[in-house]
Amino acid sequence: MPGHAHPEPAAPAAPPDAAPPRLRTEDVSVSFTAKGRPRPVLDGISLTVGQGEIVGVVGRSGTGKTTLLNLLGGILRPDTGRILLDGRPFDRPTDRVITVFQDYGQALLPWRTVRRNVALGVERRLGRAEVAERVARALAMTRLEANADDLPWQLSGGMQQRVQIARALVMEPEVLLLDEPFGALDAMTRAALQDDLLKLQRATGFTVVFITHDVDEAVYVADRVLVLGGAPATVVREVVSGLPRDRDRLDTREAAAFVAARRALADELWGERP
Amino acid sequence: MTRRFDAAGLAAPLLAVAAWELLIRARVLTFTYLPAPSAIVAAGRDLLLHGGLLGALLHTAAVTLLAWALASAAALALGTALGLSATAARFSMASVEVLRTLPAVALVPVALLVAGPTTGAETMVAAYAAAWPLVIGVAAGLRAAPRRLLDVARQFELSRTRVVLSLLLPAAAPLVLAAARLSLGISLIVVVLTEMVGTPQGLGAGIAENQTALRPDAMWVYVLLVAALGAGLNAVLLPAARRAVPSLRAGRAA
Repeated sequence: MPGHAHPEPAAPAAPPDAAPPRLRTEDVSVSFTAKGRPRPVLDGISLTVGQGEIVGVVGRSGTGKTTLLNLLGGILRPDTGRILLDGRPFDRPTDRVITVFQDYGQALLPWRTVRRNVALGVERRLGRAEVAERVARALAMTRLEANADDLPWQLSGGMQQRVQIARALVMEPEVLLLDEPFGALDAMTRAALQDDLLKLQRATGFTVVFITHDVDEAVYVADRVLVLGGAPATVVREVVSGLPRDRDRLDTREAAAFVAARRALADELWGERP
Repeated sequence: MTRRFDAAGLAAPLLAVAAWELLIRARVLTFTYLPAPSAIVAAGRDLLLHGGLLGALLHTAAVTLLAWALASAAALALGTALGLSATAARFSMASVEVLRTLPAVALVPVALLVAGPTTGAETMVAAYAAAWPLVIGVAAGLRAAPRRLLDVARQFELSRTRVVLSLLLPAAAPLVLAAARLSLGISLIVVVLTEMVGTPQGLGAGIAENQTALRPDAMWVYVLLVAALGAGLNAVLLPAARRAVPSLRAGRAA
């Protein structure tokens, strides 16, 4: 594997690299300008996400989780370092990596039906028949066929977030990036959508990077959880739960691996507080 | 605007008109130049048959709509520039603020001097006056569109034209429509005023001529027609806009 020229950040051990790498960042740093002075946000982040892997990112608010996700999506360019998709550097959005935003209310177009919202990314690029076919497939995968002609604001929050996921799936991406995708939803809906996401991943095999503020969600959904911390932020810890992919909601929560991973994350996030 | 027929709302003005009629017939109100509603109706029938009332109505309606259309086209362009470009806004907002607060009626005599007592003069001043609320409405609507839409646009690699036409302007549509209503009202006001002051055509001219001719019944006919025209334009155009622009049907209060 390339990249050993870069010093690895302090804590983490190498991820389980059973799968070939899909997305890599090499020594990526970003700073924003606040009140005329540059404020470093991310400092020398190097990480690898394998094909078909599900990676969770946790960290206190304001640590730069969303910034990291925007870099991975090509929505933001790093000041230094580079981002590679299948070994090739990229620094602008692509169909192969699609972001699902947290605020579905702002990210969906309230005047377009569910069907036309989902078609947004493909409607000008593909023939009419192919658009219809792809949209139908994405709606079926997210169980939204019955709501294809509704307007987003007529749907519940969980369904609106599924519309956004369908709008991403229609692009047939290799990587799905989700920014606190279920943060605004109630516990029942959140649990259902977590299982939906796991099922979709199993069906299509895409790679997932998601941000969450919920430690349980991170461990339950992800194969590997990264903890972002410090200012500027680095990856301060990596936790691999080792849970089997075929997860049952109730059993998993009592599994020793789940409890241990959850404890490790909690220690990292809240442990150093007096 | 209520969509259902509002019987209770109609009762109040009908009662007022009946009271007006009764008070004059009972000689409680004895102003020389205040006609009874029945006299106004009679004058209206007369004007309709022999006095070119329909022509005056059509003239005013046509000029109001023409001025409004010109204003809308110009305001959409200028408002879009101001709403999208911080640079355009920085260099122009001061001028916009000065120009829009200048009461356009002050320009009526100016336009009449420049263009003469013509339809052109009416259109010019009315379009000028009607443009400003729309300029402000379009610019504010675009600035108020969710910033997230720009991330969505980047994610799906939409062209700049498509971002404006498919995302930002539809998001701005409710504010733009509110401004368009104001602008239509202003267009009618300025057209009628210009007709009263200078051009011998339209409903405004009818009001002014019958005032000097001491024909209050005929004057009232024109006044009521102006009111009806304003209400009618609103009633026809706004539902049409709602049908044509999907984002206006989104139905949320804010």
